Amino acid sequence: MMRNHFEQPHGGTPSNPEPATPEPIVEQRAETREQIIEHARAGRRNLLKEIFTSRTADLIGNFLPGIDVPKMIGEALRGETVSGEKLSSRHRFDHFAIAGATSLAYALEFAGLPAEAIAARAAAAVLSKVEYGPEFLAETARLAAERFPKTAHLLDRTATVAMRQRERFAGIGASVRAAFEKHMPAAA
Amino acid sequence: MTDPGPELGELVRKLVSHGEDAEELSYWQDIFTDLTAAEQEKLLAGLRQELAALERLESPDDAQPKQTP
Repeated sequence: MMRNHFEQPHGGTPSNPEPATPEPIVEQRAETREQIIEHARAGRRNLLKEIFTSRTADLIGNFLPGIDVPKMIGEALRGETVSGEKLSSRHRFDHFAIAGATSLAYALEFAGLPAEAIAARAAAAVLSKVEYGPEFLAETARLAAERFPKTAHLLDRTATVAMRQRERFAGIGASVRAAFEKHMPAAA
Repeated sequence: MTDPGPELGELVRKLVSHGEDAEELSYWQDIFTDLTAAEQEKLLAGLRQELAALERLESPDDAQPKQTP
């Protein structure tokens, strides 16, 4: 049975019964420094997810209408690798950044293709031809710099994070591609 | 889009001194101008809140609720 580590016991125990008169409730100060920092990091990971989801949705929505991008990104950013590796707080951030940027880079790939090319090759087939890795992010950022300067800069900065986590990238990239292929129109 | 100005740098400097991850916060500084105004404000609000909580933790006397007669 799963147990919530933050769960606090309620009520008294036989050896320590609740006082007859409840003590006045004072401001709770149970948080430790680690808990405060972890809480803040979780908030920033959510913000990062929102940022990459909105940028990817803006791009994909223009080229491949009808795809549930938030759902697709949600699957890509589940916080685990295809091997089910449990990630530390620090690595979860890198995972979100790399997975979000990879999603965005895939979307930019579509944005760079003529509509006829997407229709002819099918989206999943396009994805399968993409070589993913930190260089893929940096190269896509370079190609997109003129048409989508802010998105390209965001991608380029995240490529730097990906470079530091090169050994993790393959698992994260494969996880993102699996989520994308699941939602993309399949090749006929 | 707005320039982060001195506030973001100051928040990051203080948070790192409290144990926050310098690399992660440096990333946020790098991408700050790529964010929308709403995203920027959300980030800054979270950083301000975190710093206030950490400072309260280190100065518990200052954070005690004042007693009213």
